[in-house]
Amino acid sequence: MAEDVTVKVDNLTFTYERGPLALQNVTFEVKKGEILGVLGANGAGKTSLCFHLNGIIPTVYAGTEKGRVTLCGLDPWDTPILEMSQKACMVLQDPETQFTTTDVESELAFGPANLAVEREEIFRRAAWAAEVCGITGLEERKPQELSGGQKQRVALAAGLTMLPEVLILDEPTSQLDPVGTGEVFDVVNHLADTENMTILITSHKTDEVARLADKVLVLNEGKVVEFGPPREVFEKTQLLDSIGVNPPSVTSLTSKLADKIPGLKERYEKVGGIPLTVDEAESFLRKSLDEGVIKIDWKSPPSAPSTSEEVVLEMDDVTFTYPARIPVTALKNINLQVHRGEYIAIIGQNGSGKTTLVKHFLGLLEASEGVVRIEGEDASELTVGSIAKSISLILQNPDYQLFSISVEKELEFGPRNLGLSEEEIKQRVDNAMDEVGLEDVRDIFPFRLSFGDRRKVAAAAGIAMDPEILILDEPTTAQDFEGRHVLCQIASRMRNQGKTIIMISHDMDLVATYADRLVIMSDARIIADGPKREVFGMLDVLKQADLKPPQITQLCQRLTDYGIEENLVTVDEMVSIFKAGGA
Amino acid sequence: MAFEYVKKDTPLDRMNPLVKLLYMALALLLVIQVWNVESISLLIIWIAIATAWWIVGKVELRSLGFLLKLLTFLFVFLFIVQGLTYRFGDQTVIFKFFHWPIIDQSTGLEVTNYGEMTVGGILYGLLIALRVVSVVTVIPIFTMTSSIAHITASFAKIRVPQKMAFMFMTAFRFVPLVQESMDNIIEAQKIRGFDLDQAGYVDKVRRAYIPIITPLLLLMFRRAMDLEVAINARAFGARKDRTYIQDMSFKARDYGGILVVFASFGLMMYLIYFESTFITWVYLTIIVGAIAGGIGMFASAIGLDVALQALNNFLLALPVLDVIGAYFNQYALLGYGAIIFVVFVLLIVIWFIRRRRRRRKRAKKK
Repeated sequence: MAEDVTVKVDNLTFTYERGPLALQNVTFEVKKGEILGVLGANGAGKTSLCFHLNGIIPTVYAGTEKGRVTLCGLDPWDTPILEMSQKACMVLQDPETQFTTTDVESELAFGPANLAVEREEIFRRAAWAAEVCGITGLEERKPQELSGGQKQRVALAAGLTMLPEVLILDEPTSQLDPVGTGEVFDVVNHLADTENMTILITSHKTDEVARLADKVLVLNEGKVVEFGPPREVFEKTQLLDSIGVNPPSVTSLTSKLADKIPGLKERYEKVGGIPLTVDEAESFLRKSLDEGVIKIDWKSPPSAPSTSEEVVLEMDDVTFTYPARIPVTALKNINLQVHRGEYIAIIGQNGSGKTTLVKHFLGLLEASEGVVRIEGEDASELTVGSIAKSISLILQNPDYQLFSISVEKELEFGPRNLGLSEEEIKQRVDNAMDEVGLEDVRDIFPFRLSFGDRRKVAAAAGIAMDPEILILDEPTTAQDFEGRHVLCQIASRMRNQGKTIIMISHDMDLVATYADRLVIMSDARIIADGPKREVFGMLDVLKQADLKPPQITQLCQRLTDYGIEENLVTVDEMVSIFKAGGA
Repeated sequence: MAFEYVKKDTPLDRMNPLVKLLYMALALLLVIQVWNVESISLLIIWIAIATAWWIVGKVELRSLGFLLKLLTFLFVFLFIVQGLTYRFGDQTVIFKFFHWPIIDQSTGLEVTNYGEMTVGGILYGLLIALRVVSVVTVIPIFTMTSSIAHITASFAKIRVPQKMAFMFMTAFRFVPLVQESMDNIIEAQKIRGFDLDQAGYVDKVRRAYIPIITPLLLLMFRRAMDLEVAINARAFGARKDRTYIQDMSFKARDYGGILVVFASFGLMMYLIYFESTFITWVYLTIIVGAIAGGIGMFASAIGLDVALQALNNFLLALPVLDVIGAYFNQYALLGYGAIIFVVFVLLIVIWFIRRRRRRRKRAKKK
């Protein structure tokens, strides 16, 4: 029925005032109480779409629109944002800038206060919203005292106090660690179940979206590529891969197996569709194995490349405490040896000490106890500038370093500080630009580039220093599928040239694909350190750090009784061990 | 950090911020009416009252120390400049740095010498410094005992436009963020070989700040753009009659506060305008004189003054020092001019040594 439709987008085409065509002929509907997942590579138009629904376009961003948008019967282009904001609440990806006031209580009250809601009512709504989002008791806290997950839940609660009918979440978890992500998705689930809210969620975490969404909308370059129930959409794995949206690993696995083994496709269609979760994949594979449709022909996965014995970085019983009013011990008794040519991933939740550890290797921090050695020398005696010649750290936030008038000048900055000749500088800059793929934006002011591109500029700046050791800090934050891999592939190439790579991440799939050795940190200590396949098997250790192995590995661990001997980590590895059963 | 609100359960916490705002306004009003050196005594009383407020509000004394440290440069500068140039007070010369006579054109006589530091000048410098301190000690009472949300609500009550009050709140909200970003930016540039710590002072100021300030500004612009989206999504500015959740009514304790503030101000006004005999200054000089006299008596009792005199004579006997030492007026300093000079020199030498001894790191071998 037409009354049931909460959100209706009809042939929407939108061009920003400053030029870019953001959306083309987008058409879809969302019924009341439904959850719509919106997927697409960065720049596909997801955020523009979200802004259309709550009135940010046209109130904050101007442009020309063709077509119609209707939300709860209102047209954002005709309705003042005052009314639109009472219908739709939005949560954005950056936990920091959504917090507009100075403490949680004011934040929750901000929305209704702006609408001149009466005091007692504001308190009632705030208490309800806080409870739903699990943040009761945090009212007096200031934003700098909250974790990322907590801040996002506050943002959610602050939106809920306006009693909206529609919840719009634009990549709410892309800057959070797994714990924070879990917290946010729990709240979203709860809201969907109990409050019957209509929810629109944009994300790159396709496995979460697959479980949660009633319908999925896939965008590419502003156009709708797919719209339908998750099972239908995710089945088209090749299409999704081609536009930079990666389906859940188990779905890709099943799809590739179906290509290899005739008859498999009909089997999963019979049971309701392609598996989207590990549980579904497990039961599907079990049945197929039991019925002899497929067989496992075990092949050991390729072993990790051997590394030299030479220790390039070492931490010898290092403890570090941040001096502050209340001192915080960020590292406790860390022992770590990094060999030349290794590709190590350090994983753990926010606050476990990963970045702190890595800063010691740059000379930014000095150990309170213990010794840090860089290529054999004691780090506390060395200047940061000289260490920078051998080690490069590529930070999470590129905006902390970009300041030059052009990409080229930006890349020149580092080598120039090292005192190299003009020729050498030019060569390094060209090389770095080539490696990262920034040749066409050579002369552009970095501020105008997209976040992903700015990331690449920062990476190129690090590479231009021609380091022996490259450290990547969370290359996945705010990146889409392709973006994550670009940085890691560059790192792989460098490793093949003999450099050593350390990557900090909590993206298990990425880590599984590229790293050889995993170091797990929790609560300022290292709780696991070894080859990745081994570490993925240490389930209790992973649990302690609130981490789960990649979907493929989880599947392997559940199917060990069928002859799987080692932990596999990528879809391709798993596809290669199955073959047709001949039954 | 010095100005952040920390919640403590004190009467000041619960007091209406407007009362504290009033206090600040009256402090300003007071200091612009204070002109003469004798008023130093008044200001000391005012500052003592403010300190009492600090104690009641449990404001951390560390913040006061931090503030004063920031202002020391100013104060030292004031003392020196006023000491050398202010000629309306007590003309007793303490010491002479250099020779800069001012000649009266008509008589050809030396009117005064700007190389000489006078007691009157130093006292005048002290007066100005105390004027600053009088206002500065009242400010943390406002900022550290009221939460920003409460302050913003009080601004709204005195009809400050909604958007301006909000600007104030946003500024405070983002100060820790700016601080953090600044630290991160400095680190980020350090690891590209741009090490601010190792650069000299002049170098630092000159070329250092572009790679630091530019990303900071750009980052803040970006944040401002995001903030605009966030507040619009919550209907900011939609209605003129927005609600404030803080209780802005005036309670008994607020009236009490107002009373105390007006009483203190009233006392000051009375002392300035109606009390012609500078009673407080007289008391102050008596007290200071008594203390100084007491110390003097104690020193002579244990023979300290004899020892110091001997040391002074010895120093003056040294070939270089007698000329320079003579510059320090022997009479005002009780004849210890040479010792004072030597102490000066020692302090400067120690400062240099400390600078050089700052841990010099070496460059990496490979």
